[in-house]
Amino acid sequence: MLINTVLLFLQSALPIFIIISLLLLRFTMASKNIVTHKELMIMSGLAITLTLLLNQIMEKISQLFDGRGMELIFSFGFILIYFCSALLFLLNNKNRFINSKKILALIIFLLVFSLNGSHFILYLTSYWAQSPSLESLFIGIILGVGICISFAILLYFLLRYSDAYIHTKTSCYFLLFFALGQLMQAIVLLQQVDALPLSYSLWNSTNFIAENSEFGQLLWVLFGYESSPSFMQLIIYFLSFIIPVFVSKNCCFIRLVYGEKS
Amino acid sequence: MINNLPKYYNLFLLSNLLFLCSAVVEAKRPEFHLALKKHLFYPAQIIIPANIKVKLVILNHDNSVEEFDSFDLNREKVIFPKQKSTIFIGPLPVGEYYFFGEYHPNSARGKVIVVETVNTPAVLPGALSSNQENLHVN
Repeated sequence: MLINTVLLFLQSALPIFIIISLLLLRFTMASKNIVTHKELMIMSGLAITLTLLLNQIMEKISQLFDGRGMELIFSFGFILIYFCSALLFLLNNKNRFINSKKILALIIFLLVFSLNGSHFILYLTSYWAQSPSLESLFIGIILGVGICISFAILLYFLLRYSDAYIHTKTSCYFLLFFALGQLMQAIVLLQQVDALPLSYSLWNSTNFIAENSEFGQLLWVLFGYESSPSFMQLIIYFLSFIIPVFVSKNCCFIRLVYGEKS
Repeated sequence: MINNLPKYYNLFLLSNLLFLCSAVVEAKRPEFHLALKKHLFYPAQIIIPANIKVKLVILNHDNSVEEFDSFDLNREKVIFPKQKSTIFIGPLPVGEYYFFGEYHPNSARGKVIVVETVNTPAVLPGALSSNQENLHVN
């Protein structure tokens, strides 16, 4: 029960803490006062409301599309997270698109918070209802919250240091990898309901890092680690990484093609 | 917001939307049924053919939420009380793939047995006989 609760936090709550760290980093370091306290409060309120609402209608969603509603809607959300993050990655160095970046960040935050948060509430309430030992559940919650907060703070300062002294775009690349992890969730969900073709696994690294272990879950949240990826997953992963990086590196060339002067 | 973006970002956005809107084509798959009663899976064993993708329909008869979970099959699916859910598994090589109920891992357990050809009814002795008719290949 204790380990299950900790794993639940790593799987569903950690992405929320990570995205808060990443977005705070981008919007407090890159441009000062870009997001006001009032906006932060409104966003948080909106995210919590959306999460609770999604949690309430999850049962109805699950029955849509012949019992495949949850996968289709959640995968759509995860894909949207990736595309918004990729756009934010591309707009990183531009000071002109402040409002666009704020809207993209808001969409990413709301989606990550509501999709992962609604799952988290569902699992936690189910565990709570069926748990023989409430003591271990409470200890698990305390441990889980502690791990998530500690990890998010460490990540914030590590990326802040790295952005300042190692590579200016470290946090941007980290955001892209995080979004790739969310995209991989979408791929698995779509394969689960036959919306994407399934194929044999290319390899199985379960003996090296098991996906269901604590470390495996952490890597899964951070980079979309999969112990037995299929060919399609691998291709989508690499293309989804390479395309935004290629576009960002070749901005000058593309501007030339489209005749944009600035 | 879109109007403010450069043209090449609009192109990137358009390609993304096309990807999202791509049509989902579903082929007819062999269908297998699984029932969850009193936190037990019926049948506890499912025999499916190798190298074919199959549809697995899971019906939760219990009054509590359960999650069909399998690390071997890489599947995770929440099944709400008195509701049915659908997942697809395979194509799989010959072997045994274990699954369990996340909230009752000690009782709700089962396995998918992948064989070259399916000849025998895939129900464990002791499983509900009424569920035998649930297991079929279209």
